[in-house]
Amino acid sequence: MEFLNSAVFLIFAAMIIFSSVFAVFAHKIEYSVLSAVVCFLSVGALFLTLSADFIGASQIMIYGVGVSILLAFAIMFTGKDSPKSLYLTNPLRVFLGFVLVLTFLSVLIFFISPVLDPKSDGAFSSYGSFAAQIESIRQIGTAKFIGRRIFCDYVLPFELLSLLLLAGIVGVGYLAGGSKKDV
Amino acid sequence: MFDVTLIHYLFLSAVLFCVGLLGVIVSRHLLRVLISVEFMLNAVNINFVAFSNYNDLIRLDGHIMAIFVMAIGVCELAIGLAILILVFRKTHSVDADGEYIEEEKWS
Repeated sequence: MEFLNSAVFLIFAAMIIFSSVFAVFAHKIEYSVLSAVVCFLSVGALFLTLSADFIGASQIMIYGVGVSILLAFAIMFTGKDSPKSLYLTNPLRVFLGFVLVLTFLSVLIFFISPVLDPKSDGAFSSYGSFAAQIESIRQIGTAKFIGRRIFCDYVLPFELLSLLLLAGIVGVGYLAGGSKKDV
Repeated sequence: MFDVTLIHYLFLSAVLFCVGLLGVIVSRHLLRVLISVEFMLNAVNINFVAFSNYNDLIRLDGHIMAIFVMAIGVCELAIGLAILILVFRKTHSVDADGEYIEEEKWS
């Protein structure tokens, strides 16, 4: 079981890292979009291994299906690249970007490596009275509890989020809709 | 093999975030810049869900934050793609460096 957990984690982590690097450095934008979709699906599968079934299903539906269709539409509308292919910026900025990102990654790893003891197996032992809820999350999933939390404690952010999505729909329709002269 | 703990997810998330940051800095295609921003948001989501799984499976705050980040990220992506299409209509180019051919007639 432990072997299975670590094998699944390693497979999906490798898929995420390789497909994201390929999406950044692919020569053609179509390959880049396909590789990005692979990365999104792998992140969704990784959510499923974290006992987050609702988030994993949302990730696969939103990113794996919706966002990929949006990106395909964007490629379709913007057509082919300009005659010289758009790949990387000038070499000075590429070099400075690599330096900056490697520095940032080393700072991140420096800060997250000593914080957590790798042998700690979560903090479930301190939740003695909630053992029933954890057991039911293990059995029926997290959707019920997420719904209860959202509609009890996070009602206002949830409704504001729906307003934001409505404004996004109207704004996208206004921006990308056909030009007024054609009508 | 080894036991998968929180710190492995944190390392993976840090690497994915850095790849997204590198893509935003380095790439010249506007669509690839938007994809890289989505990589960064996905890295943040992995962090949220991993912390929620290993420390806070009672209140599930990380899951709810991940839902909010996901919705706002998709909204941002849709508006960014609309702006990308507008820029392409104006300049017939999707170059992030802004080296496009000036058109005589703006259609």
